[in-house]
Amino acid sequence: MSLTSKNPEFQKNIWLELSMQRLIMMPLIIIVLLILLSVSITNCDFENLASFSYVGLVIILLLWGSKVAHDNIISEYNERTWDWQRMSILSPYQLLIGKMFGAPIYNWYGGFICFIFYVFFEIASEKGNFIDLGINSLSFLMLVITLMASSIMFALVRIRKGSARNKLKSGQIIFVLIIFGLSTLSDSFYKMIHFDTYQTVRPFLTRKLIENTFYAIWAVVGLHQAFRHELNYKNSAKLWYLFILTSSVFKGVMSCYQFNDFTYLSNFILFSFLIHAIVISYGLLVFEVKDLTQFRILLKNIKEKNFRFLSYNAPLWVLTFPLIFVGLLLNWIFFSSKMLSHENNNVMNEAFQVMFSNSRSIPISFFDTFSLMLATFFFVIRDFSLMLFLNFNSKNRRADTAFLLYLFLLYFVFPLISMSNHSIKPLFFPSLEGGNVVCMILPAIEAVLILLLLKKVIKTENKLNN
Amino acid sequence: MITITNLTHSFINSKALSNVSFAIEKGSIVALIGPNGSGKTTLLRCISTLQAIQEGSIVINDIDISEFPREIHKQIGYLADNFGLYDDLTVRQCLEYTAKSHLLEVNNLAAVVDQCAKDAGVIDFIDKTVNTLSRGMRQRVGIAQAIIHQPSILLLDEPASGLDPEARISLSKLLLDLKSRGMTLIVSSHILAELEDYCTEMLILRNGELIEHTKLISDNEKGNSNLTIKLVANNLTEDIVDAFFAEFGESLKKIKLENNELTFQLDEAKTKQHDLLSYLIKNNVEVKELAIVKRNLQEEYIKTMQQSK
Repeated sequence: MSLTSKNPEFQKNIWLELSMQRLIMMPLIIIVLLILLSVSITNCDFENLASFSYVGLVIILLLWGSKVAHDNIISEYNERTWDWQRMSILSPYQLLIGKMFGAPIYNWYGGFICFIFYVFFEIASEKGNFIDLGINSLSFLMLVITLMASSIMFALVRIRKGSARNKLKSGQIIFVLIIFGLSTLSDSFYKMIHFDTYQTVRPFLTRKLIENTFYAIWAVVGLHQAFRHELNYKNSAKLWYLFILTSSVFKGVMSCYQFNDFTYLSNFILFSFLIHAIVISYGLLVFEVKDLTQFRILLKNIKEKNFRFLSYNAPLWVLTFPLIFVGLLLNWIFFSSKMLSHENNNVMNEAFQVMFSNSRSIPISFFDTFSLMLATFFFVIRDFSLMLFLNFNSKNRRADTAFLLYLFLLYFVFPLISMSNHSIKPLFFPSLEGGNVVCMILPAIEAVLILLLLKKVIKTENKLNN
Repeated sequence: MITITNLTHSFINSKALSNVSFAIEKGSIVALIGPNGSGKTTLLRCISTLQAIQEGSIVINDIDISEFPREIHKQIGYLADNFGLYDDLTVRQCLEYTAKSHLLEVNNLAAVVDQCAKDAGVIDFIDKTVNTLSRGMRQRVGIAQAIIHQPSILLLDEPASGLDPEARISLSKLLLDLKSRGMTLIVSSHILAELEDYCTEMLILRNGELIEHTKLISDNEKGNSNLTIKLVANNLTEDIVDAFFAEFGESLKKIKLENNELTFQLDEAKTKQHDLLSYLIKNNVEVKELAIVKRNLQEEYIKTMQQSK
């Protein structure tokens, strides 16, 4: 049986996306563009044409394709056809194939044509190397899969957040895609510049391939999980934690590999774990649903120690949030022990000094790192409380945007304005400028104040709803 | 068949459903009515598993839907208020896609699609694209999609809104036809007059609370022997009525007599309707109408809403 007969979602998208006119137009436009470019550029050679084909590939498949994949979910939601799919007995795997390869089938088609031209011109230019070409192509494919899966996941997060009665707009993804597109193109230009010295290019391409493959696998697994959720399967938190763990280890190893020094591998991994926990938690906090009802249900289940329910139903930011504290604690223990045991280890001490205190002499003490850890803990509590405070309020329109604005003010504008006054630095960052007590006490006061506001808003809203 | 217990559902800063509990038997057509924002759509979406259950439980055919939501997908068909159709597909493609999405056998797919299109009355348009169809026809395609996997329960959210009178009448016929095949239907609507034609039960929601659950079916159809009967005659005097009640004794119970219109209760286990009619004709009563009184949906709704204020 063919893919179309096995997978109704894929077949439906082929019905919707492909027509004879569109099938003819795509190659025709690409050929005309290549001809026009070749005649309008002086001394246009095969290398130039290969680059144009590559740019076409990036635009048609990576950018446009990801946008189509994202918009497909949004339009299914807006037109209420998404309900049919959620109530069907399609498998998550069928949906995944249907949405990733079916919805942007026209872009896969256009991308394939560009790819054929790219390979042809690369070979014709006689500058290319088959292995590099293979690695680069595979790496690009992985990037496309990562970005498409991420775009669909982004759309799924948006529809979960959107009220079932409101229509969603499809433009939000464009900004993210443009950034990805530019970074991909800059990679390809790096490759073009260094093409002659393949000794430099090969490790770069290999590293890219490994990274892209790693994230493509996790993006597909993540998308599969997201579709499972939509189709009413129960997802446990295990895979999510496995992703954070493996990604932390992977990033740690890749950083050491880049510096060609594995001495501090464990520290790199732990630091990477903390960064993952912070970045992912804050990111999810912005994108995921945060409402008082959900919060009440979560609290009720936490009180009842119903961890099975939490594992299956808690939003990802709630599941990731505790990892920040685990990461802080582990980093504190390992960094402190390493610094204290290596008295001559000035590199780490100097790094700490630059990051957290210009006025302190080295070496940084055990108590210093403890103060920094606790200060970070309070800043995280403050930020998360602030976000919940903004969202739980009944007048919560644009709460997430307001949160981002507050973060921008708190971590960038205010510190920038008060740059000359080092003593108030601990108000905005974990900093030892005012001493250990100030380092801990100022963020603690901020956190307590916001927590009190949060408590008040919860009380008020509970009264209103009852 | 459908048992809902203490169902509560909240959205951001608002409670859509509050402790809703009721039970519906197989083969019923339930009118789900209430003002805008009363929680009708949320209730339907909870039953169809499209909305996660926050508190309470829904059991359908002995299956708890929070535990086995995928099992319920096979047993439920749901039609949203705007039908949710792919405008650029033909009716046949829409039905084929839905059938395959419910893993119906591929071998007899064409036959299944044709039969379903016939049942829903869209066979004549099967090769037309959806965007060329009228609203009434689109609604039928939506119903065809919802019943193609032969669910035992069909949930319809505002199916009659925006339909012309002809399309509404044919919708009533279609729903009665589905009921006759043993399907249980829950229909949310504002148009009470149409619901009256085919509904057997009424659920009234207000501010997320269930304020009324009444059977609308005539007592006779329900198997209850106590019927409310209305008699209209030209010469219905007090004496004639007294004699009438004396003749049939305990099997009749007077409710009211007004302007030649008598309403009474009849215990059909003791006396049949045709016996009453024979007596009336024999005694020269000029009978204009003798009929079972059905409960009026609109009156019931307004009465309930006023009482609940």
